[in-house]
Amino acid sequence: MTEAVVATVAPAAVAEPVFVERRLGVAFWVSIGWVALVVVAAVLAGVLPLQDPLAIGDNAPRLGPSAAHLLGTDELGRDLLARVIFGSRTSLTVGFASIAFGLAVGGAMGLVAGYYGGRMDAALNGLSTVLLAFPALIFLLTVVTFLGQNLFDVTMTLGVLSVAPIARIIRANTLVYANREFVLAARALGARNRRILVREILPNVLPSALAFSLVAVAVVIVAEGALSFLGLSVRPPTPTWGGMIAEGGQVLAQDPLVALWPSVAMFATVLALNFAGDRLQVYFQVREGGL
Amino acid sequence: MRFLAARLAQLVVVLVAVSAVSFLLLNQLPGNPVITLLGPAATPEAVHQLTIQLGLDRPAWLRYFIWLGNALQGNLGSSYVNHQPVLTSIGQRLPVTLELLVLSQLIALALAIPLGILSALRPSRMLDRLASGTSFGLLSVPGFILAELLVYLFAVRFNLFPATGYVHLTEDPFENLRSLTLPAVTLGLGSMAVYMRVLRTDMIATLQQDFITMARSKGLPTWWILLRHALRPSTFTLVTVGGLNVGTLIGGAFIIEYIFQVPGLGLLTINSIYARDYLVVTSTTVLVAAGFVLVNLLVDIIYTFLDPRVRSARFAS
Repeated sequence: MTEAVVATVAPAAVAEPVFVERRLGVAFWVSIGWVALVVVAAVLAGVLPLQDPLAIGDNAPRLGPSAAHLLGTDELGRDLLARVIFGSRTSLTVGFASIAFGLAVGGAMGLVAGYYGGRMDAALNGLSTVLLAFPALIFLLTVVTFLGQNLFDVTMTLGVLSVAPIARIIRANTLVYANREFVLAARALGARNRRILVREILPNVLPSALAFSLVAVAVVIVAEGALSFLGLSVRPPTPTWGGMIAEGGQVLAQDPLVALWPSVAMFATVLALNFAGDRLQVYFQVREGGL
Repeated sequence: MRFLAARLAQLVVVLVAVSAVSFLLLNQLPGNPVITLLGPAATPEAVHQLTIQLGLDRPAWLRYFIWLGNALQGNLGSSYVNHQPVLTSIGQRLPVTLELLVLSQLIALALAIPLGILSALRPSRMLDRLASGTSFGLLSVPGFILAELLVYLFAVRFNLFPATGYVHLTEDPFENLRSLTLPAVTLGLGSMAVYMRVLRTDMIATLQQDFITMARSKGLPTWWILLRHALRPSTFTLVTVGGLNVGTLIGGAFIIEYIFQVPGLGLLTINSIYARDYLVVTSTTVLVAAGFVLVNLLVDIIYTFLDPRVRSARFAS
């Protein structure tokens, strides 16, 4: 090596030549519409003209789709449409509530760490290094087995797990704005740190945080699905998508529809959340660098 | 050198933290290995005797330090349930998990690299849209749903591969591959979607750089430019993401191993959690965390081979 090359480490980022439209597009609204539909159905499940998702023996088992049972019935003669809709309650509650918790706690941590730096920043960094190396599923399995398999504990466990990754992203986004001119201007006008954080930085960080949290909700729905697939989420007979997929997995050869419907519902919801989040991130021009 | 020392120190801290947390966490669980061993009908005397025999009457933190002391000397203890040394069970299970990991990553890269390159060559055209759409869809399929789908298609409808079970490599290499095909494809498709996306993005950026224009103006054939000039500098994110992914998969293949009953580390861990076999779970957790940190260290070293500028920048500092 004859000459010392002092170079930038990463290759220079060049913008994609693809024209990025600043419009959300039809597919975005279809995704949002699907999520809205699932949420409304879950909320109104008790009022909708659905059969009892728990009643065993009212109907013949393993009926194909018909006018009376739009999606058919399962091994125990329970109406699959009712079970899929009631099952969405678990997934949606866990998904949205745990991320709301993660955003509140992790968001505050990330804002403070990104703005003040120093000890808070170092503590956050250390915490997330350990948490990232710790296999999340082992943590989930042990904690959920210990706390009990109910909606609140599953939600809180997943919420706590989401704190570190959310804090990291909010921190990175805060760093982008912490030294911008308008922050400097606010400080020069005599604004206190708290006011700068809440009135100047938060409104700028919030849009990308919301876009990211849609994707995070999808991740949590998958995690809850995995837990209930293993029989470790909310106890049966309460229907859950993961639990229904596991039940259907036992009778794949005889009746693949039992596993198909909850799988389709889960896939469509996760896909819609991912897509909407992805589009919003492009729309808000999230800066992913500097993590 | 200082870089390596710092990373190794970080490794030690992470391992101690992870082992302490998992050991103490597991000990908080209701139930214990004595009940697993003796069954619910055991007399209180028998329970008491076995508790003392296994040393479970001592407080959890004391047992943790005893375990840590032994672990530092290469003794991870024995399972409470079948008395097999933990090191032996890990020695049996680890190769299975690693074989599954290697197969799945081979499948992922074999699909992702050509698709990524071809998509980047003509962005927003048919192939690119198709590949990007498929990978976005694949990213939204939870692993256990993909597993059930593959089982239904290739084990139930067309009896091509076994739905569960594992044949050891030394028994029958062909059956061994057959038994690992479905789990490896399940894991591989998930990884492929991520790899293709990042390679495509980096490749598009590389193809706009001056040295590519230079190579074109020399009249070099397109395939030569793509493979010999553009591919290597475009693999930075791929290597990073791949490292993270492999690190996660060392332990993250739990559900896939459970569904297909592949006797790897994941299945061992799940079964040991159910049996409250503390020492086994702590050991596998530590192993998985160590694997995660080491793989990421390896990724940092690979960078220096991908781009000499990283090497000189690091030596300069």
